[in-house]
Amino acid sequence: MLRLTLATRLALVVFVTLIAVRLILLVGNYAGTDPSWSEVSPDPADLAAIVPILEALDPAARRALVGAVSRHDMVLTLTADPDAGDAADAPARESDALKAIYAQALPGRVIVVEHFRRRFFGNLPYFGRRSRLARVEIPLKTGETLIADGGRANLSTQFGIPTGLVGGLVGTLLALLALFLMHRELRPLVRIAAAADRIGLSSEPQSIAAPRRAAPEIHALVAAFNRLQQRLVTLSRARMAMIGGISHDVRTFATRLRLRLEQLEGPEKANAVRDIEDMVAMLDDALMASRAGAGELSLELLDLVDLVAGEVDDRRSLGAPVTFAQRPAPETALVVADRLALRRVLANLVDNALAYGRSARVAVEVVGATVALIVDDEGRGIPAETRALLMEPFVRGEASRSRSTGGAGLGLSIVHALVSAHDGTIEIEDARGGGARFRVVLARFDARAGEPARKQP
Amino acid sequence: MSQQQLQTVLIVEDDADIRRLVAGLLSRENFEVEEAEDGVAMDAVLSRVRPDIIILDLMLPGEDGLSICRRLQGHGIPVIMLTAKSDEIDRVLGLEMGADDYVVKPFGPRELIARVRTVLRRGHPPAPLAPPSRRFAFAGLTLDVDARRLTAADGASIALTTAEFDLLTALVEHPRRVLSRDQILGRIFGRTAEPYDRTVDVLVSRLRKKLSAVTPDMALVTTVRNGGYLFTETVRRVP
Repeated sequence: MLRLTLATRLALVVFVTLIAVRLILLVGNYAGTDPSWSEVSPDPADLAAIVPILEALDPAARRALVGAVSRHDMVLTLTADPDAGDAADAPARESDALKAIYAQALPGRVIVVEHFRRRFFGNLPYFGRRSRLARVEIPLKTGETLIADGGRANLSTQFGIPTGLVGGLVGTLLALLALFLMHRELRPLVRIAAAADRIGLSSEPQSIAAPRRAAPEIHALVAAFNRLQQRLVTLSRARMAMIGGISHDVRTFATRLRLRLEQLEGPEKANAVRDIEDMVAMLDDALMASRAGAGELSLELLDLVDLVAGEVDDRRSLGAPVTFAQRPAPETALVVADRLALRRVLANLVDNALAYGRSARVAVEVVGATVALIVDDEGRGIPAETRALLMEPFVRGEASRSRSTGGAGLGLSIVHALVSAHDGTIEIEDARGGGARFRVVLARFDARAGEPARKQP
Repeated sequence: MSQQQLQTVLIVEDDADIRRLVAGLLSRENFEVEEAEDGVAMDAVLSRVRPDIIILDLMLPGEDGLSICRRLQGHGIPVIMLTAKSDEIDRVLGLEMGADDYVVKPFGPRELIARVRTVLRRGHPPAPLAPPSRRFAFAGLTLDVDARRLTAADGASIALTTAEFDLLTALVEHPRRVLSRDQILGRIFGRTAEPYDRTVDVLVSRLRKKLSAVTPDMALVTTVRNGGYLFTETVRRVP
């Protein structure tokens, strides 16, 4: 039931209502319009009235009367040979009960009564009761035999079609027309849903237009939707501008601090310098995560192996214990991603590994339609309970926020935000040897397919 | 001229404290220093003195740092840009505008001094005699932007409409980068997309057909989810 569209539902309502009304009228029609219904057909009283009249007329008048009086529920035939025509009829049998009824109406006559059934449309029920149809053969004093066949008055039109059938068909056609018209009216709703999916917060809002003749409610909804889009885009841009502004201003202050620091000496100087760098890096992360969240990534086709190799080389040149342990062939680990964002992700993971796990071991794996970036460390590992929590901002594996372990804990939540913006996933596992393993999975780019391969859910 | 002639550095920066600190730093390193807080002040200094090098902040009130950099090209004075944005694009842009190097804020004093000395030692490279060629080679095909011709490996010319050619040029000039519909439309027609604008999609589809006729086993143009297109092969500039 849930899958039926709004238009279909409305059309069904109309359709069912039409059918119901139709049926009610039909039943009323059948029930109320047959004054000629009687228990047995032909009506014995009618026969009793006609027979004497026929016997009193001359042959020509007799035939004329038979023709004139014959009707649906009493078909009269005058014949010299009573046995002719029997074979063509529906199965019949003698019935003593019926015979008694007719014998009562036409006393003293030798009557042959056969009771037979006709097809449904020849014997419609009246308030649930059906007439019993009979064929009565009455020998007349004139030597001929009057054959009277019972029947039921068919409610049918002049074309022989039962009344109501055409009405029903017309109703169906009208309902189909209504369905079509309603689809047209409601199409803007379908478009709104599609447009909502397409909203990219970074681009110009894609306003949709309601057709000029659409209902006022549809116009109102479309207008509200367009305004909402505009608000979302404005909000997103305002937020990014604010973070960008803060980042810029902080860098100005940081520059002053850094230059002033130069004139100081002492053991704290190096720490102060590092603090400034960390502070700026953290703002960069926040800005990038905000842009990524709004879809403002500048995407490229990248070879993950090149990117990782570059980063690992940079670290090693500064003496850090970072290794690129496992790499697939060039041009196999291709992804569509923002270069700066991926470098940020890798840098954060390596920073964490070095800070908590003494060393970082990086690997890239191609698995089917995905590419995995794996960073292992040699620390104590991360207990299963804390894993989900770690992705929240400002949570760290240990409760303290001591300076020596650096950072305020934004790192992993930034990584999570950036990875999600690329439709990727990040998982925390155990490394071989006890440390923690971070696995980032992204969709692999496949030129042959014409589109980036979809990541397996 | 005395052998010990000091070199002159002109620093153009709107933040007074930074300007003062850098000036102090440079003086301690035996440079003559001129200061300016914006483009106008810079012009005033330039009318008086010819510095050996200019340190130019990207974000300035009034005339933008990038535009100043562009118009300094004719002067023959090397420029180091100071940028507060970590965005690579701004740096690359600055360098394409004629800057000789860049330094990101916050910078260490030694870093700045080192860059200044390096740039001065290098001298200002002369303007290139001719603009770089606009011929690109990829996947066995050659695209000549000025001659507006695309040729296959066997020399046969492949017919493209104006719009298809512009589209291919835009893609090839940014290989392996995702270009959005708006960017492509802006590049080819100078406008942005209207709702339900399928112009780019249709154009890409036609271009794909023509390209696959020549390179059947390669999908050179890929669609990226959420409306972008990507040229998948690497591209080489050809003289």
